[in-house]
Amino acid sequence: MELIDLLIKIALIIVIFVISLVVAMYSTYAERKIAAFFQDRVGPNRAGPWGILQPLADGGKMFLKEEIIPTNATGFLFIVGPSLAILTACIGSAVIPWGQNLEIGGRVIPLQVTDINVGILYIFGVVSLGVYGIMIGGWASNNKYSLLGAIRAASQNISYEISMGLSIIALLMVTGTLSLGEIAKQQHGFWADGYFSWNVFKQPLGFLLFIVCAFAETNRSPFDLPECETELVGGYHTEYSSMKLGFYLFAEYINMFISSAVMATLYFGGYNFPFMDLIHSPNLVAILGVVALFIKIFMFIFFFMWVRWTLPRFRYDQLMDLGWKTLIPLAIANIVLTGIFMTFFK
Amino acid sequence: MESLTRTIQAVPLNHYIFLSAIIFSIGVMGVLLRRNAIVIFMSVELMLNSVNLLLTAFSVYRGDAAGQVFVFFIMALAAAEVAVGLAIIVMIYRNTNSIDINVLNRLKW
Amino acid sequence: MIKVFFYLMAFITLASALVVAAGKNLVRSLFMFFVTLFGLAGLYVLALADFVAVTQIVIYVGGILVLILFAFMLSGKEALNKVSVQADGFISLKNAPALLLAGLFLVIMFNVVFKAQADNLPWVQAAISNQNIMPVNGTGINHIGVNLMTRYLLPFEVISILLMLALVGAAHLSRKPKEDEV
Repeated sequence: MELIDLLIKIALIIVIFVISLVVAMYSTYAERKIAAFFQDRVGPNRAGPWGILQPLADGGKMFLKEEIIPTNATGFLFIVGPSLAILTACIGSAVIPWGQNLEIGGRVIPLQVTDINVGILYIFGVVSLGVYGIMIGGWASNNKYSLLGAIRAASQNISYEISMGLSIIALLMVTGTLSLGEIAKQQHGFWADGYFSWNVFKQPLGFLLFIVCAFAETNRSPFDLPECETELVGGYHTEYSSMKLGFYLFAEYINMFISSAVMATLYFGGYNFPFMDLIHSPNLVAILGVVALFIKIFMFIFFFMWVRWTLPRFRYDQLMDLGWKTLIPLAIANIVLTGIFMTFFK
Repeated sequence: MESLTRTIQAVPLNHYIFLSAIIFSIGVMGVLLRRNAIVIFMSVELMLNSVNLLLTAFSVYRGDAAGQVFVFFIMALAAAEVAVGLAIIVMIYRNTNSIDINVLNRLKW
Repeated sequence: MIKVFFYLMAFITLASALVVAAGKNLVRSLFMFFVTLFGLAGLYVLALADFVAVTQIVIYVGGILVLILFAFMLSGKEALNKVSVQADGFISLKNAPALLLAGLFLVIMFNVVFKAQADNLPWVQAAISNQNIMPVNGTGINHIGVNLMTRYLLPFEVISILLMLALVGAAHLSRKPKEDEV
């Protein structure tokens, strides 16, 4: 690999990292504004115009607060917990295709860090790692509430991973590839061969299952039982303070961003947008594609917040019943239906 | 493509075999030495994993994915083993309040 | 470059495996097992088996180790400490037979490997000279899928039935006994 290619890759990684951090930062602001809107309040409006500097103020507060490590906590693991949480949240962005190839001065720049041929499985692996930050942190706190929160998080994640995997299998039957770049390419435009080209129209049930599982995997309401205040004080982060708490909260927002990006790529055409063939400059298409992808991502993030401030939390047995007795049978039925459909109609 | 074919040949096959032999022996040692049921479990997993490593290394040289198929079989077996084994460990803990396997030499409690 | 990565990964894997098997502290053992599994996944990648590597992460790290952690969390902290304290020095007379056995096992395996000379086997030599090595460009996965559904269909089905039996058995074992059964 040439040095310049390496430099471009590094620059791309840094840009994606910064973008995901900034999006996560402003998601906290959006969350508070949206919550305020839903509850007929104003929301944060003091720091800067319309409160736009609020995330910076929050971050500064987190950094400057006193850091408390409980005496009976397992010191090393207590620090490893939030670090792992934020690490696993960040590495998911490596395989997402953010746009088509750019061409600058005869050099082709792919807007995807790496297009490994097992991209979906990589995402799946990262998702399954996400539980470690919570489990280790919850256990290391040496607190009953934290431990209960950690156990809840782990069993919830394991249960919903299964139906997530099964809904992805049905998608794979349609696309026939594991590479995310390839899947995004297949959903070119909006209309192809007499049908919608986006996967959501080919796998509506699969998408529904996937989005429910994504809510559970990111521990967002209505599946936020691991940090359910009414029962568990703060759940797995009861004992955390200062920036370590900030890492946990931040990891949740990054997870939300990444899972929105994955959903947009897998089911909503990624960087593809309607009538993209009418534009003839490939660079313009690539840039508009990035914009389209980010619009889709922000819609999903808004959806996450909309649900959070609308629906009440599940009870724990309801959560498990939903996962094991509804989603998994539905996902298996989806696989069978997809198979039948592919055999008889193609 | 060519750089990829060169990567595997950079490391001699023998080194993969030595590595997995050592990992396997560590697993054997763990199973024989430790009294803690969970550690014994992890040691068994180490032994299974060393076999997986050997299978993948050979399968690449062979140019045949059959070896990797066997890796999946082994992983499925490991999952089954863990499910049953951990259920047994949890039951032992419930009955004896310990996961020390030395407690089990009583046959009755 | 690749060599450096290989020996680095091998070293990480071996060191952490040693801690898993011989470490006194159960928490450290569990954490090191996490590292071992990642090291092995890296080795799989170097052996051009990306699919196996990712499956390793999903199944072992995301499934099996989480279950082990579960068992560990559910059995109280005090009981765990009792076990780890009770085990006396690692190298002691009591442990000598086990150490001897493991050591002899290693010696025998090394002996076999030296006798076999894997790098000089005819088919390995042929593979090296022909560059007959599985490419990584995605066909490997197709290969695995086709093999799994044709040549190895029977073992595949048997394994799946076995897995189901094991899971039903585990569920049966770990259920709470009903009041009238006690």
